[in-house]
Amino acid sequence: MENDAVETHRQELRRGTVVLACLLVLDEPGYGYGLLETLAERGFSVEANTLYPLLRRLEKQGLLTAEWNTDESRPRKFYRTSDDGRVLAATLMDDWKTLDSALNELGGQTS
Amino acid sequence: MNTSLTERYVAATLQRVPAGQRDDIAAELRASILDSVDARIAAGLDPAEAEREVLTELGNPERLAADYTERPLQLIGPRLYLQWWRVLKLLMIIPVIVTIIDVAGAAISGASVGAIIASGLGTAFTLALHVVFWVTLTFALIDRYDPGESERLGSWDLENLPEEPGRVDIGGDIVPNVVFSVVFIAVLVLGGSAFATFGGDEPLAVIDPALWSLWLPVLIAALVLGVVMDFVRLAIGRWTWALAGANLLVGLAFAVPACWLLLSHRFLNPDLIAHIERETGTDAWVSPTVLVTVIAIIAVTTWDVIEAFVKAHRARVAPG
Repeated sequence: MENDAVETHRQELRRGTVVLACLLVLDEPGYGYGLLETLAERGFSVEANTLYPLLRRLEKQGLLTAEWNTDESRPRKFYRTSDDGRVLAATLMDDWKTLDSALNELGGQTS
Repeated sequence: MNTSLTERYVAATLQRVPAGQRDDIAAELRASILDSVDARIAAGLDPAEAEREVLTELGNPERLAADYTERPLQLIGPRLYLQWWRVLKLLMIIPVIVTIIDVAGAAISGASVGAIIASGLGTAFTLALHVVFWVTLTFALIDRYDPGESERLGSWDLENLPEEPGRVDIGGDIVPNVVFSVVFIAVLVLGGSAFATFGGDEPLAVIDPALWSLWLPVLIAALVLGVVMDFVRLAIGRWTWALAGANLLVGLAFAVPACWLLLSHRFLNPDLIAHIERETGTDAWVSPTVLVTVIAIIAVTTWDVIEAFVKAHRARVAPG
């Protein structure tokens, strides 16, 4: 199968998990580039030009709270998962687990 | 470190961001870029190289700005696209009709063939452009600003399912065709009979009565044949290639003699032309009238023939 097509399907799978990953990681306050690195280390490769607008969107939806930190010479905007965000993260996590066991049943492989 | 590239990038992004959010996005974006660059420098990259890499990865600043502001980067979305296309095709009939009128008008006013063609093309192009522009603008506005209307317009239900392709539609196909044929037969019969006096002493026919010996019967026969074919088509229930071919022959059997008679000035009654010339002092009306009639016959016959083949194509029984 063509490489592009394979990549597209894999990206589709990953795309669905980025929001949940952000909500979980940002239980501890994090900022733009730092979050990018953390997600990459944990196996969620997201592009910068996807992540930054996503953070803003999640903040607008009330799932993240944001605060400017001016302690260092370079002011940074720190995000943190809000209460609503935590509730959604739990729901998404449940969905994920349900999907996981359903897929395992279908595929017959242990995760 | 050369920050002008970064500053230019941030400025370019901000251009498409509403004033209220600019400061916040600017500060955050700048910090993110500088953080990325620092990380790459720490990994051993040259500062200028690091900056270029980071900005290149971020991509088109306009696109980034659109993502920041959640601006849809499309004119008409998939929800409305099909409807837009359908309306566009439907309204294209307007340029066609107006162009025909324009060409007919130019012909009547005695313009040269070149001028007629130029005028026709100009009209057709301009009108088509207008239709495309206004329809697209309306749909783009609805798509962008009225999701309710967009939802309604883009919805589909079973009612919209088209009839079996090529299925003969009695009301829209057979009836009009038969009616037109009968009307034309009547026109030919009456036109070839002297029943009106046109203000003179003797009644004069519009069509040269000499044509009764051959050509008028031929034309009437072609029209009658057309009506017969309409009933055959009604019986079969759809267009077929054979029917479309027969339609072509019958169409030619009418159009070719009719146009020839008109263009060679054999159609109109010479007595009538002479009479009108005596009354009004001119016969300049003859040529333009003939030309318009010929154009109309050619246009209608062509349309009819093409339509028949298109319907036959659509109605072809699927293999297997």
